[in-house]
Amino acid sequence: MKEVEILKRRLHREQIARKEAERIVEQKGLELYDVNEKLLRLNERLEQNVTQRSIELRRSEEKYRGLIENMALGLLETDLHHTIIRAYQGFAEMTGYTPEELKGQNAKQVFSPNDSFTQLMNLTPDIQKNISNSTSEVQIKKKDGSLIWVLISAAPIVDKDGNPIGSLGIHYDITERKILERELAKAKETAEQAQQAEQQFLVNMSHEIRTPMNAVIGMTHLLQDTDLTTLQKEYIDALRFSGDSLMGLINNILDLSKIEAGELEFEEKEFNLYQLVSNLQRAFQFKVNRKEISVTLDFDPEIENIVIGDPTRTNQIFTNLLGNASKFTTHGTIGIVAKLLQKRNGQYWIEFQIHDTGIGIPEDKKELIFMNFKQADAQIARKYGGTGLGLTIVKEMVEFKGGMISVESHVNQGSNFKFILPFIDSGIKAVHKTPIHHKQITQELKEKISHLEVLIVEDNEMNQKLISKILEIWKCRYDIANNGREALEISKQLQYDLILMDIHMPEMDGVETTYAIRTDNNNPNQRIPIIAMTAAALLEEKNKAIAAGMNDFITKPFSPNVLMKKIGNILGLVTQKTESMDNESSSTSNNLSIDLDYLLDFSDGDRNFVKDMVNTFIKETPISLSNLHEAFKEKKWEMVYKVSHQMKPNFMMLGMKCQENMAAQIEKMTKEQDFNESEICTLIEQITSAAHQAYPILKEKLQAF
Amino acid sequence: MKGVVFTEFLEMVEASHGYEMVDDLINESDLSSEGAYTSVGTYDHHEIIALFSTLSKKTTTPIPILFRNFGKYIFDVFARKYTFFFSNSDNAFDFLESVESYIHVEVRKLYPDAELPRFETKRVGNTTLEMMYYSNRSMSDFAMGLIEKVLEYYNEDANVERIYLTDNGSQVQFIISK
Repeated sequence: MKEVEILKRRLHREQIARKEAERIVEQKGLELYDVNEKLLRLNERLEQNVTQRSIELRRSEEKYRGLIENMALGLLETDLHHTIIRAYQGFAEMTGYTPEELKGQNAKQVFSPNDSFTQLMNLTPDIQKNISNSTSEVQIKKKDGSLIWVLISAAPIVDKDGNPIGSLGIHYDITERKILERELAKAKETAEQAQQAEQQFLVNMSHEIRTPMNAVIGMTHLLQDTDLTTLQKEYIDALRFSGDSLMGLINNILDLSKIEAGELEFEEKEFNLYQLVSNLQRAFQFKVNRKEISVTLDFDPEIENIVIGDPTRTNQIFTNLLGNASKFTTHGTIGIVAKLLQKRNGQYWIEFQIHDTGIGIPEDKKELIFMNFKQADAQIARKYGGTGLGLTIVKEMVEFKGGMISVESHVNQGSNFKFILPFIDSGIKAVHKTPIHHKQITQELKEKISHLEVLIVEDNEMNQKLISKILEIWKCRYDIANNGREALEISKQLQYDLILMDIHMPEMDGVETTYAIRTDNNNPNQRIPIIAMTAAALLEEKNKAIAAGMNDFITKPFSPNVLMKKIGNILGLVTQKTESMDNESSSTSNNLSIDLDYLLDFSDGDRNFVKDMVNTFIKETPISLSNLHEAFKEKKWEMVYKVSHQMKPNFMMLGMKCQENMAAQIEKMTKEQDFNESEICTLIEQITSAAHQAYPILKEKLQAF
Repeated sequence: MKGVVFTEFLEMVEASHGYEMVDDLINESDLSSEGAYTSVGTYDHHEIIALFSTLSKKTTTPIPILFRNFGKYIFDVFARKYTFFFSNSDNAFDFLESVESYIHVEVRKLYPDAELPRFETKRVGNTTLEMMYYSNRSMSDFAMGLIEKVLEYYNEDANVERIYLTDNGSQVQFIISK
């Protein structure tokens, strides 16, 4: 029985154990099933991903291949020996081959039209070695033998270890662009030629206009010296005035056309900047004396050396700005300021100011005034005149020299034009000199010049008449050659003291003629001074004249005095004497001498300007003198100081040295408040009597002018 | 503890003492599983201790000797069932080294919940292998029987010295020297 019980228990245990085992097995089976399912899905996803990637890769490749083919880029793969491994469709189309034809060919031999290509191909190994890119433009030969321009960018092909195994060249057909470039260059050249022609036309025109103008102005000079009725004199004055205005306008237009053609010329020569500016101050003080304006100068003593620059252009800039200031100012002050900004690399950078107490410029018009033919207001032209060219020229000149110009202004308060200009520092200290005593020189010269024998070479009949008239007045002997060829013939036979030579002449121009004379050892005039006469004031032309052997040049139209001075200098007939002001400042004797040569010299022979100045003097001086008397009577010393200060430059302008000194003495004494009244009284009396003596003399001079 | 240990133990008892002894052990050992073991199951290791204690009392044989004998017995079962574990080694030292580095790794893959002892082996010269035993079950006798059987399996003659590093027998050093 016990055994049965044990067996029962064993069976029971084994049943439980089996169930437990079955449960575990099934559970494990399910786990396995799950794992298997997961693996299957994972596998499927992996396959899907791989397929997806392959499709994407193919699409991307197709996209780039399509892109490259559509971009008209030709790709070419070569090995290290230039053997073509693969030619892409684009490259094949570019060169007229099929890809199959190119495969296996040597690229160097197939496409090489010339050396430059071969050279590039020889460089390829370097590119490969350096593992870098390069781009070049070369010509290659197509299948049909024609040449095309391609832009090649080559990059090395490397194996997995980075060793070069060949190169990939990307070619872009730039033949069209090259053709366009060439056409563009041609078009540019044509345009430049056209512009040059236009420039030449302007120069020629200005010459053509100047030549007859020269005759017109010259003839009026001569006409003025004849016996004329008052009415005729008036007409001639008007003629002169119009002629001068017209010349001014032509000069401005010529300057402007030079500026526009980028041919503005600046001379470089030594000059005394202080002298130039103080001359301008005196001249404009004189000019505005009929108005209640004083012209002041504030010159920085730091600018102590002679400068190197273009005095004519500098003068032109100042004259323009001062002209404007005096035109638009009725009373108050016009000031000139020169201030050294910095001294650097042997250059003075100087800031100049021209300020006035005139009508001013409205804020919105400030930009306008520097533009061609523009004035702040259309009414300005009617009321004040002018062409609107002046400031444009000034601005261009200043900027051409690397400077700048600006304006500050308030309506009815005044304007301040500031400009900065560089000058070369010569290193030579400037000495302030008084003008040459022209009168004595002129007397001496006239005597010497009257012995001269002169050859005039001039094709224009009017000019011939003008110059010969001047020479007749000077009592010179002269011959006339109508052109260069004639001049050459005459000069071979006769010896002259001087030749006056026009530059522009038909057949043989002045430069050629001069060159022929200078190089002919048998010509007796080989070393005789030649003065060029030119209407075109181009620096280049003047340089050409000097290079050909001319000694100097004179710009038409010119005044007889300027010509005389030139001749005097060239023939060494005068020695220029200069005296410092201090030497004469002690002289107080009431001598009366009047000398208009200072004004003539200053204005480069502008007699109209001189006349204007003299008339102003005659009109303004009595008023100033009565003011002076009144102030003295009422012991208003400040007023006495002011009037004498104003009068001083006026005497100086007319060469009235003694009166200038007396005015200076009054000025000095009243300023320092160290005087006795009788002394001043005497000085005023002396000045007054001298002035009264001067008026008729001046009037007489004007008549004979 | 894996069910195979229980089923093999009871088989051994049945073979030497008959099923009546097995029945007695189960009845007298107060087992929560009630002695219904399957080799693929997992059971509380206290049950094996209880079964060994009961067997020790009934046969008046010390527990360490029973464990050692059981180790020898189960080696044959393993050698029969898992021959592929033996094909990688051609000597006892190589095989003993592979217990931790290979066999236990594979066992854990099959039975992630298996609680196995940890061995560290170190060769000292060509003839000696030091083998550290770590286990909270403190069944180094069982291991001793297995080691002896391994030597026998590879026909190698070696002296197995055992040094207890802790009082409770959880860390033991075997020095196997030929």
